[in-house]
Amino acid sequence: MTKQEKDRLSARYLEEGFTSMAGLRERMGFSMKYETEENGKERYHSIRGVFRQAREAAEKMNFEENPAELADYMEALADCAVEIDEEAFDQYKELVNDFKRVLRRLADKSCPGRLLADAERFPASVRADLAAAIEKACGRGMILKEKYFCLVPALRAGLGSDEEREGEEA
Amino acid sequence: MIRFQVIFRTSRALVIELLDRGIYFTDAPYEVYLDGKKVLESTHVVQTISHLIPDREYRLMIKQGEACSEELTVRTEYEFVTLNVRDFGAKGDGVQDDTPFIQAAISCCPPQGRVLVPAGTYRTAPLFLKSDLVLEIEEGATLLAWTERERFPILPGLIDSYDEESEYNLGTWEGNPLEMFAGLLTGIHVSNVVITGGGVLDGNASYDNWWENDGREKRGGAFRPRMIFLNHCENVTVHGIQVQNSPSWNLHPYFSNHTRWIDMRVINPKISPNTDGMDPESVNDMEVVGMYFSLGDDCIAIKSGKLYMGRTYKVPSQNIEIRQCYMRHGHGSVTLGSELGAGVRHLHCHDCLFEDTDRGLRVKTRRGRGEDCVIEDICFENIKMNGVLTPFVVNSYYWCCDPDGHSEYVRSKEPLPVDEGTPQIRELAFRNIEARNCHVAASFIYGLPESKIREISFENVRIDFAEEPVPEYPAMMADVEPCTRKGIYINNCEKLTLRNVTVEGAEGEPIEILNVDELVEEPAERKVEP
Repeated sequence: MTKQEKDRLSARYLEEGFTSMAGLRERMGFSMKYETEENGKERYHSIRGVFRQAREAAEKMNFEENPAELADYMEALADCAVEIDEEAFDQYKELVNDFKRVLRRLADKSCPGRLLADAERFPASVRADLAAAIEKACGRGMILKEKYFCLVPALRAGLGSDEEREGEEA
Repeated sequence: MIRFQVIFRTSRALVIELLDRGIYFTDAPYEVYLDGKKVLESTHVVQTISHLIPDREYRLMIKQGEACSEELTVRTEYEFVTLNVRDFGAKGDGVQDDTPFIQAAISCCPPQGRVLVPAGTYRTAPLFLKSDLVLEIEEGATLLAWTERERFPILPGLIDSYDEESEYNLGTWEGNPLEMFAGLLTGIHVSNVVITGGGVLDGNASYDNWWENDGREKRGGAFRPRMIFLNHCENVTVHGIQVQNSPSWNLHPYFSNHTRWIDMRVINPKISPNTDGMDPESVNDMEVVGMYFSLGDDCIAIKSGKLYMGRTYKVPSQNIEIRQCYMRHGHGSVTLGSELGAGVRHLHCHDCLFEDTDRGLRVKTRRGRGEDCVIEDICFENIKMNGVLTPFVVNSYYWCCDPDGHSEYVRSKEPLPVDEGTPQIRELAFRNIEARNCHVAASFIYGLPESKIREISFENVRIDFAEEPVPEYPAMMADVEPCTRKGIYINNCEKLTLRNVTVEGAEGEPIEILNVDELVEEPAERKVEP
């Protein structure tokens, strides 16, 4: 994809704003990467606006009814936190705080290894997504690894390898 | 009668300051007598007298031509022991890595003890200070930094507390809590520290190492180190040493209180990137006296964090006195900003020389810096400038260094709604200032239309221009063109006082005032010369 094409796509994504958590996950990582690496961070402000809309939507959701949406949301937050230029620290911190807010609804803060939400009932793909998001967040230093990384194997327990998971989902 | 005061003393040295005898340099050479014996001649207003004996009373007197001072009796500090770093294994041969040996001496220093670094060249990585320490880098001694990043410990930016209720900030880069390599001398939560002597702290930086690619990017997992980094420190005095060739900012007191910086030299090549002389950030009660700066960036840049640190901790930089300093070759002599998330207040800069800097006083702010970004009670007094491009610059549209810098929100000269991002500038006073051989503009002061500068006063200010001025941008903001010999330009101010203000040699109007609500002007001998 040329820079011009990327620019058009990023602009379109941001003009459309928040549409769904799946869209957020699919689009914001791309936009953030493009803005950071190729566009001088010009549309960071717009990305922040989209995430604020997403936050409002997330607050109305819960893990019992919307596990897939919240998993997408967490992945989008982690993806963007990985891509954002850390010198835009206040914006990075906003992503981190949003991530933690959702994570608290998933994990028991006093015993972080324990999942509050009934994760065993989540579809395998959701559990895999949540595990990936938490793993990414631990790796980026968004959350304390010693507290939360144990959720990753807990969520992946019984999922088998990537190939097996794909087979299960199919 | 010559008047002087003793402004600092250790067990081995005294620092005197002559009163009413000039700015940085005295009007004539003078002699210092100890117990009736002449010990030195000087032309510096602030002067160190060294090679003294601990806990001893001295009779001190100054003579200048026929004039002399009264005799003053002063006692040096008590000293318990001296820990010579060579006794700990340091060689000072410029080859051995002396870091662990000097660090051991520092860690072993008892209260009222002194760690002595005698003459020699000591290759070191960062050294960590402890509380209740005197570190003396003797004249002829150089702490010469290694340049390999692998030798520098990393200070993480922000570490979450286990309960996630709080956080611990160690490293910082340009107003954000980010990973940095530890400073050559690093103090973290230490108190009652003196760094003294006539020696040198050499960062050894060059375009072959730290300044490569202008040093912008983070490499090796962290941003560039400072020379002296004090994070959450109390009662620290740094005196006498020369600091040079820093990888980035030279002196960085950060969330630290009651610090004094006395009779030092801070020197970096003019072309070196981001080598500010001193960056007080969220500090309280700081004194900067008798310092010489010659640098590649701002001489003193006062800050209080970018948005996150400013809004979260709300610690302004305040109660700062700068006097008898000589600032040369930097971008700004005294700069406020641009990271001013928690504001700056009560700054008194007086009796200083500014020479060949791009700007004298320089305020850098913009929309989005936040409602806690309040600049108030800033006073510049008894200043002589020579060859400064623009003596006074207040830029409320500073575009540099952030994602939104070139956005319409930042650059617009139209009034925008006041919101949580709107900064404020309250009182700026300039008194008894002479600026000779300026190049670009006598002053360029541009407030926001929706948040005008509350009050500016110029009293007894005289400005003229160089015969062959160099055109430059008066401020880093959109829609401003390079110029020369522009007069005083002031836009968006509530109250402006001009008392005995003279601008000579301006092209066009010597004073151009726009959008000022109240003007108090007393006649001045304004001359307009083409």
